[in-house]
Amino acid sequence: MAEKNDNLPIKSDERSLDVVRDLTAQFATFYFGEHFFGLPIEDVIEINRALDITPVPLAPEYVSGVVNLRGQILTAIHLGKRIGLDLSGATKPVEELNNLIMGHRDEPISLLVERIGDVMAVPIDQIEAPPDLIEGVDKRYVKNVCKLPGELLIILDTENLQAASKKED
Amino acid sequence: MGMEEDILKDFLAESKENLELLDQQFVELEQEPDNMELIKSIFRTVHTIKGTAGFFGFTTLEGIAHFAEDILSKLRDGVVTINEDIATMLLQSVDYIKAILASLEQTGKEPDDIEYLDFIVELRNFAEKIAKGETPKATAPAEKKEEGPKEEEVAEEAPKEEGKERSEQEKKEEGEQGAEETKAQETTPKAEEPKKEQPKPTKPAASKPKKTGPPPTTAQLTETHVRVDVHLLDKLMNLAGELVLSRNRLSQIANQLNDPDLLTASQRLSLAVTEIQEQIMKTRMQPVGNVFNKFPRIVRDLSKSAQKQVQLKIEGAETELDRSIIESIKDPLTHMVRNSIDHGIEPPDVRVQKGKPAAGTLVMRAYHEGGQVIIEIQDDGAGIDPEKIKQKAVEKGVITPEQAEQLGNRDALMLIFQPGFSTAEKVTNISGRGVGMDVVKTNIEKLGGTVELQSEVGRGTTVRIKIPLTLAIIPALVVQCGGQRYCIPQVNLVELVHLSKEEMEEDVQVIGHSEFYRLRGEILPLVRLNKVLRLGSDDGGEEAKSAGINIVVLNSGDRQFGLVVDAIHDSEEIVVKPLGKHLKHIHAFAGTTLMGDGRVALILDVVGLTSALKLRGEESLKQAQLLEEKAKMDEERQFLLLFTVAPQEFFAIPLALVNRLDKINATDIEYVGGREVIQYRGHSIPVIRLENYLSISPLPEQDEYHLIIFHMNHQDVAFLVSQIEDSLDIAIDVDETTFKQDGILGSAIIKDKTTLFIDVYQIIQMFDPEFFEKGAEGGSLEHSAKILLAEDSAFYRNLLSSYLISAGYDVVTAEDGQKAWEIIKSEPFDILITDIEMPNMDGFELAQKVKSDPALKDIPIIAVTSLSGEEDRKRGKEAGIDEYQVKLNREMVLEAIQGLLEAKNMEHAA
Repeated sequence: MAEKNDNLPIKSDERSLDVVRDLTAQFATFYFGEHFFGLPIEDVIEINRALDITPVPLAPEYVSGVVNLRGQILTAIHLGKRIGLDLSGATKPVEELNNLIMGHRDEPISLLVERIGDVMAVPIDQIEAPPDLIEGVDKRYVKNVCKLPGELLIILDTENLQAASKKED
Repeated sequence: MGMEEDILKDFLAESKENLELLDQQFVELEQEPDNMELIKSIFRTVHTIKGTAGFFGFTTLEGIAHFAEDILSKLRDGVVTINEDIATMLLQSVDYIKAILASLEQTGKEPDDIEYLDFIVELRNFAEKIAKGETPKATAPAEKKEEGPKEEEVAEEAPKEEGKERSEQEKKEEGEQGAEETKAQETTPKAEEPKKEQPKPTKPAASKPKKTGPPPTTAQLTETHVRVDVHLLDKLMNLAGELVLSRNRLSQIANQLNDPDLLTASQRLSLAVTEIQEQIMKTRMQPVGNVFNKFPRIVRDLSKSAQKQVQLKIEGAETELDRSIIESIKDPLTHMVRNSIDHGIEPPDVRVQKGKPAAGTLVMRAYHEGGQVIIEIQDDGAGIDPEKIKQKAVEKGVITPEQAEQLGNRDALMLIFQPGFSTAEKVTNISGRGVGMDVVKTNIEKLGGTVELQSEVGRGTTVRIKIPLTLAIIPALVVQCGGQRYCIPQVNLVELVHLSKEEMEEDVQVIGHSEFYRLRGEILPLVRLNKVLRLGSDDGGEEAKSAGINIVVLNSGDRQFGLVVDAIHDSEEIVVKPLGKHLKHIHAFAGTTLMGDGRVALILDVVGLTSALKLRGEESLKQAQLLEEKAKMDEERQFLLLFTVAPQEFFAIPLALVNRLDKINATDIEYVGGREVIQYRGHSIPVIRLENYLSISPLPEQDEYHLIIFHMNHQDVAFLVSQIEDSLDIAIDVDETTFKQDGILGSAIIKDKTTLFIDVYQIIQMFDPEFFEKGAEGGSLEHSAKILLAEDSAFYRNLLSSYLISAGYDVVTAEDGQKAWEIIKSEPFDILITDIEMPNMDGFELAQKVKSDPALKDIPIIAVTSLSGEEDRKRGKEAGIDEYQVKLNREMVLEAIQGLLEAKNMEHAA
């Protein structure tokens, strides 16, 4: 939480609040491996530190299992595996990952991420189309990127993350 | 506008329910034309539709409703009584009203098809004729008129919509009907009336379905029903589930803390929560009558077009079922009713000829049984002829003629559930549309239900469907595998079996990659859950194996199989929740559920599990059954030793005859007195080369040879062979004729190779004719003894007689018990040696007969078997068998013979 202010790319006193709201987009941010990711704040329903994951045999590789969110059963999708990160380095075991509940209300999913970041506002004009290649990330799931001082915010594609794509795996 | 849209929606929903009711009521009315309450109820329904249609300005709808009402009013007033024509006309009106409503729902507009106007005209003419007191034949061609007058007439009816005392008002207004005088006044109430309904549009709707009852109660009923969105109920259901979980945790904590106040509070909460859960469950339940009510109309139409007379009886319409199930059984039921009317119930003339009433009876019956709902469709028609079914199935290529012959009647009936099967000889309007009973069965099975069929030719057919009460909450067995819990729906469960390690080794067979367990004589394919789910077998390992296995015997539609799991827990009521879209495609799972501790458990889809395994399981299962049959037919399983002398020439001898196997260097063979011998453990043993006695390829020169050593008659003797190939336990089927020669008992195909069975005794005797005499001590008495040998297998008959003859006995053979019995009666014998398992007369029976014959009872009997069990021994003793011996144990058999003969002679001497 301490890094909140460092991450804020704009100073609020420069423009009026209205202007800021118009010209910025808010993202819930999180980390997996060395990468820094964001999802539009309106696509994120809630964040839940640890939920018991029940593994589902025969499931696609990227599905770690199912979780119980207050009586609703959600599919838990392992972000790293979903977007093809190199997981050979030391990554947290599945049970220590955080649940980021996201997507459509009728069938949300739980996205498993290593570390939860802050909500941050990014000026819309800094949001760019993704480069042709982001090292170790399947481009299908990247909607945009935003170059921040010191790091690259990878804005994920909510639709594609959530879609049940059978062609892969 | 939004307000009006809401009203329209309510109107449509309400009207749909009412129309459903109308269908049923009209049919009832035909049977009870004097039922005033019924007529009034119908009248009110039509009237409401007319009034509301007027409010929205739906002229066509209003027109149809108006004239229908006209006809009804005449019925109500007793001017005319209902007949088929009137009923048909009224039902047609209902159909048109339905069509208009459907169009309103989809487009928001009335259809502008000319057909509707034509119908209005036709209906009006019909109504007019009725008004004049004639009962016209329906559908007289009618001249067209503009709609003007209709609207006038419509207007006058509108005020009747008012208030709760409708029925009374209506009575008053009956008199007014047709009189045009009040037209002007009524414009006002007409405009006001629907507005009144706006704040509480649900009232009339909810009350409608109840109106079949006597009118006085309707006033109260309007207050007790509200319309609730189904999604709201589903949400409540979810929350109730969650409440239960929270309650469970709370009571755990309360128990730990052991605070009396907290415990009491938690117990109270617990009760309330249970109650809430039950009540919410109930909100999802609907009477099966909601579906059944559609059938009077369906049956009426179907029987008319099939020109049959059918009386429909509905029983148990109040039986409740989960609404999702109610929706999904409608189509299967319709199909079965269609089948009954089309194929089951005969035309009236045929029925009368058969001495049945001209009208067939079709019963739709629902009732609870053991936590399930049973729905029966029963007709008293022609029934289903299993022979016809078989014939059809063969024609259609569903089964082969051979299969057909073996099919029992019950199984034959089940054929109609096979895909691509339809017994209709001609495609009629009603059935034969390519939707077969297989679809019915599939749909019912999807609901976790089963379909059974009973039929008696000439008497009728009953189809019985068993379905669970609800899909949302089901009883399930919780099992464990790979450290996770899984739920198995109880409907699929047959029984639980635990096998100890020993039982497992004995009764579980492995064929290919599949395992089978023999459960009370039936072959049960075993499916290991951890393999199906591709779970690592990290759990337990050796330890688990030594503890035996747990088998859950499951029924998946047409077959049973055993699911092997790590552990079996309790049975629980579980709430079924669907899997997300990433996981839906996995056939092994039917959904998920929450367990008491808040964790998720997967529900196994039993049908899905088997379909994944079908291809593999099917082939192995056949093999297993084949083997089983073969084992039953030929219980003479043998341990055989396979070896070669020259490459690719295979020989076999029963392992039981062999004393030792060994390897020697070529240099160890010595020549003594023209014979080859070896030094072995301080003795010299004669070595026999088989090629010297059999016409086979000679033993090639080798550095090393294998020795098969026999110990017979207190001496050792060895065969010199090239290679020991294998030893195996198989059921042999020996062909005694193809390779008939001295020293060979027969041949068999073993592991795809033709293998010759060596007659060890004969070979030894050919090598040394005195071999068996040298050691044979004892006098001459047994040499003259005469033995009757009863043995059905030619292989064993030859083997036994060969060593008995070589021991100097006089042997007569018989190939079964019956033959032996005939022989023993005609000739004197000193001893009887018999096999147990024989055709015509088995060994036990033969022994019994001999022992109960005064002339023969002193003949000692030896039973020889390939295996001897304690059970057999006991039975044998009772039958009078003196000794039990294993066929191949020559020494023991000879000893037994000698012992018995000596005993017999002693007796004689005494």
